[in-house]
Amino acid sequence: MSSLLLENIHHAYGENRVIRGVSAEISGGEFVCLLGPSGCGKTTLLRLAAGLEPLMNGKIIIGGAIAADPKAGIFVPPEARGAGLMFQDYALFPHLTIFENIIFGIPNPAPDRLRSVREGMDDMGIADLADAYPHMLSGGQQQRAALLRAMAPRPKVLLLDEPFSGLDVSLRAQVREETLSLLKKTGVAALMVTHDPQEAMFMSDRILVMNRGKIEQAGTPREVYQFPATEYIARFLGQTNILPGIVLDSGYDEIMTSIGPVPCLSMRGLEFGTDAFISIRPESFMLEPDGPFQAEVMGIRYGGHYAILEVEIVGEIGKGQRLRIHAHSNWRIDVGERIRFRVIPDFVTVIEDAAPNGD
Amino acid sequence: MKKFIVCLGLIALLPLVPPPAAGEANLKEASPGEVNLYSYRQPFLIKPMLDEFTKRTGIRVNTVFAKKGVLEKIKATPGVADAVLTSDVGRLNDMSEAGVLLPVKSDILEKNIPVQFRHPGGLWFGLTMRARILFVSKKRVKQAEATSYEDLTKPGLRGRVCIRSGKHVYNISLIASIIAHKGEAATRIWLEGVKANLARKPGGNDRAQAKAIYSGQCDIGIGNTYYMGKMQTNRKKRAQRKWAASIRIVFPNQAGRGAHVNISGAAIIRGAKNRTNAVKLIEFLSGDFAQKFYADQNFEYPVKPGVPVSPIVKSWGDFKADTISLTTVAKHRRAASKLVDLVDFNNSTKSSNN
Amino acid sequence: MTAATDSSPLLARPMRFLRADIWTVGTIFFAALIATPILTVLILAASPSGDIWNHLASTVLPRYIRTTLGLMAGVGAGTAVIGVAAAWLVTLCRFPGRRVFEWALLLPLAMPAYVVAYVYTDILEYAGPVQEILRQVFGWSSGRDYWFPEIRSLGGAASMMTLVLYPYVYLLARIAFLQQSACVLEASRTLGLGPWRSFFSVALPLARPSIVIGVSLAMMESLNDFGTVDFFSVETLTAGIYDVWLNMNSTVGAAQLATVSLVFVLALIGAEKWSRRSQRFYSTSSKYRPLPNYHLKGARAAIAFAVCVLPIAFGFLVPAGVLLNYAARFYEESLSANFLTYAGNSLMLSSISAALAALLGLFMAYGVRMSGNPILVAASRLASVGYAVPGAVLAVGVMIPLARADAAIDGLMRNLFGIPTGLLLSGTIVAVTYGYLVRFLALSYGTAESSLAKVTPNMDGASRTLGMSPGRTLRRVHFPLIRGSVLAAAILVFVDCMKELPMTIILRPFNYGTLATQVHQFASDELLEESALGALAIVAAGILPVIILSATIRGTRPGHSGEKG
Repeated sequence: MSSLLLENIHHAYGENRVIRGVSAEISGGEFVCLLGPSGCGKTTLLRLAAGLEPLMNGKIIIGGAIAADPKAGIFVPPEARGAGLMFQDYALFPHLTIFENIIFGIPNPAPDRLRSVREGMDDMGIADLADAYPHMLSGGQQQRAALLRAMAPRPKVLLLDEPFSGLDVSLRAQVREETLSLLKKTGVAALMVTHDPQEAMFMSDRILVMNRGKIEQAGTPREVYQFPATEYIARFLGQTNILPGIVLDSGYDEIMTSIGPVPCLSMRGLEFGTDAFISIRPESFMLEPDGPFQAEVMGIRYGGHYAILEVEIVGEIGKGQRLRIHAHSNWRIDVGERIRFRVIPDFVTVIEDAAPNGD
Repeated sequence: MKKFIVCLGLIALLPLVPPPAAGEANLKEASPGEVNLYSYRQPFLIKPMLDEFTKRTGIRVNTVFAKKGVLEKIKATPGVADAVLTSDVGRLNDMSEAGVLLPVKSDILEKNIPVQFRHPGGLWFGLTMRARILFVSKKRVKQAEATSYEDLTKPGLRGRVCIRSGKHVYNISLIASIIAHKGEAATRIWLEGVKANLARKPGGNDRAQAKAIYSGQCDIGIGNTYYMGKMQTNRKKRAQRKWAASIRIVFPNQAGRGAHVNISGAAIIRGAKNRTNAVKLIEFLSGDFAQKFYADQNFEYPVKPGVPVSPIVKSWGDFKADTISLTTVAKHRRAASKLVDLVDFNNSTKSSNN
Repeated sequence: MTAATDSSPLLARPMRFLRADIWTVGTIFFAALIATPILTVLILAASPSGDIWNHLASTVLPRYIRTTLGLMAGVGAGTAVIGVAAAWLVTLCRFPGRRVFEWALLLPLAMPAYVVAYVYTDILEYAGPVQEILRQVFGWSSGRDYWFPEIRSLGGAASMMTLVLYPYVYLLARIAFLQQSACVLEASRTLGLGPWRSFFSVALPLARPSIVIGVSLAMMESLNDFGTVDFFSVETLTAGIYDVWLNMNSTVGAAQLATVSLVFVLALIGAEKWSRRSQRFYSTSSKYRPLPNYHLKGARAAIAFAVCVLPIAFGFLVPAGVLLNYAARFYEESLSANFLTYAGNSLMLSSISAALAALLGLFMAYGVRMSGNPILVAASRLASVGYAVPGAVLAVGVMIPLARADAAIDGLMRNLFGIPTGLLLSGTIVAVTYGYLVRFLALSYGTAESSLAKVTPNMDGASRTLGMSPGRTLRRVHFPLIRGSVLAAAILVFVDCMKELPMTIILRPFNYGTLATQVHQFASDELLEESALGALAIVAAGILPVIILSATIRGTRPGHSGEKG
């Protein structure tokens, strides 16, 4: 049974249509990310699910019960939906202690509920702060308290609005892992909004990439990263090279591009001879002395566990085409050197619409 | 937090608790032993008389003292009040025009109150009379310098006159009487003349004019007679006795129409549930006891012939009162108020800096 | 304070239809209840009034409007300068006497404006001691020899009102300064602005909504004042209303002029809204560090001391001293047998009204916040303009519908049960309480609205998604957060009700009096000395609440509840 079902949601603020037909389903125990740039409507979607925004069109079902269905005149108020929401600014009640904040949603807690709250506070390392007030806590501590508070009433689905954006980088990684482990322990379905692709890929079972009020692609982090459906997603999730090409016959698993044939596993069912674009992630290139492509290194940037090479094709086909290539850091290459490489198909995909450039 | 809300809630419910005895009178229709009275006159002025009335007749008097909104209250809740006491004929006239007064035929009232002090149809009855007179400085004003209202416009008095707001009901009444006698155009010229002579912007009350004369800010003021009596006899406020002592009383227009007088009065309200008691009350107020009380305590002129004025008032001497009908005067009040606006009387450009 | 989050305000999106929940229905009901007398006045104004309007327009109306604008401008400027300066000094500076000034600055609030006017007229007029001494010292013989400001003037009236009305601004500005985060001030300092420029470019703009509310309250009070302008014969619209009503015997004309003054109020409200425009001042930071304290020494401390002590001296000490003197000499005359009853009546009426006003104001402000529906917003606005309508006119507006309701109830009860109920509402203190609510709801509603506006909508969202209904959210989240402001509003209403005169006089039942009516019966016969005891009792009754108020707003600083210091 799905924990949260969104059916063909539409929403507008005045003339501004912020959500244009979104459907999604999140099952128990699943962690799903809504990933998109700011202003894409993802926070609105979260607020619609929580009931903080009246739904205009579509249907929301939480835990099997209809939460909002304007056509049927149903609008379940937020307090009756069983959806927990964690706010970007945490929204801890400043007049209550951390403990009072956390048990806010369980007014007459049974002993076992209290015990599990205490355990949660222990696990998250804020047990000592039970009697402190929110303003006395650090950002990370506030974040943990807010998470525990949202979890305490045992919601059917947990909604998280950019929960880590207020934390500094070093803390963020740690808190992410803690959060994940707490969520997995309780098995609650979670929908998180974020604009950070790394965060989305790190945490999610599934990612819904939103752009301009629509979900452009849904899939596991691997699918979305390796095989982005659009140029927008390809660029949003990481660095990539976009090349124009023509789809070859189905037996070939190759696409003909401006730099020659490139192996590609994901043709998106396009017919032979169709004009298309491909996205090749920089890590899809493998430096090999006898690789089919030859290029001159124009620039090198050091990225820690890999080096980023700016290269220019020197072969006859595709001469002058610039590419961005990741090489293992142990390669010793200088600017002006010539390298040879091949393309492995894992991070190559056909995308439907794009404009090529030499980025 | 809960306690706070509960507290607030409990306090909020209090008005639903029936108010104690005092307010109960009007929950039910007044019982036979009562009379409900709206009064423009201050409680401390009338309470001793009402107490005496209750002592003699057993009729309890419930009062509300108010100076505004009485007519509207009578209109909105007819039958609640039985009688009304006012300190000015204008209010009585407003009420009779609004049709909220009940005509009364009473031999006692007709015997006690001379005809010029009551409504011809018995709608209202004057109880006391006061004159609007000149307060003049004993030192600085010569005997012949100011003997009439008209004198106040004489060029010789430039910068020497002071008066309370032209919009005050006593001044409106005076102006209305001048309109009644001389017409609007002449009255306007009079008002402009007075304005030109003002020592300061109109303001304060009648006693304040006496104070200003005492202090030398101006030489001539206008005030009601009883204020003079109250200042002269004030035991505790020695300063007021000094103000009064610096002043000579001038009853204006003695060679002509007489000094402008006004009345305080009473009327029965249409729909009165305790009509008989209310008539008894007004009859009592026109009788010897109450008339003497008005005269002695408040230095007013009793309307009932034969009732002596207080010794202080007597010391001022007799005077000739303007005999024009008060109803006629009252009819010109609106015009009087407009004239005050027209000449911008209250915004005298004169002030203490001259 | 950090930049506001990108989340939209809770449920604040206009919806195309009204939901029939208890908050919407309740808010509309209460708004209608409170607006009824105002509407009654407007309906009254719609009847023909003969030639009065022509007369007014051609003679006094421009003057009324000019004078009224002048008075409002004077009071607005005066209260703003005194209130803001004093609030800033006691909140952010340290200098001798600061702790006492914190509450003492509120004391003039309890002083009726007309009493202050009487007292200062005695002192400052030509015959008063000040000019007397000047004349003796300089050997002047008459008023022609020197210039002295005339107290009975527009300027005098504005000064008198400023003296007793600045505490509104002080109170609200102080709350606003207390609620500001130290961070913004520090940010401003690090950006190279000195304390003065930080004040003008950061602290003041942030506190502006509260200051504007305070100033507009003071201006509305000055607009409807009658006692002072009558005594000084300053011709404001309100003076004109009474003139048309009482001297020209035209209730309709008075209602029409009252409508003109409502236009002023609406303009004022509009200006206030405009000044806020789309700015929202949520305190998004949950971190509050102690506010900076500028230690003032020497001349600076002396100036700060003077800025605080002068309004207290002129607005409270001097008039209270004069009253005390009078009361001591004339208590025999003024201490009637009913004095204690009247005091009890005053206290009870004012407490009831304050409690009701606080509850209703909070309910309606929350209802409006929840729905954001323009109809609700407009209804609540209309319900809070009663503050600026002259009391006596409003009393007529209260009386008429109440009497109708009484007649209806009476008829119904007679028909159904054969029991006549008589004047269940208009003949009891229900009428007075209702009148007070109509008049003073603006205070509690405005305060509740502005303090709710400071609570980020995410608080609502958090509570709602944690399973709390709107009612429980109000009780468990908003109320504790804005409790100080609600209490402050209740106390303001209490003090105002203690002073309220025209409505009490007109709406009270037979034989019922309050301290204010006690003061009025003497004052209306020019017996200031005899009225002093009553006036002093009103002031005394106001002092304790005012001190509580000061303590309360001290605690409005977020985070104060948890820790000391």
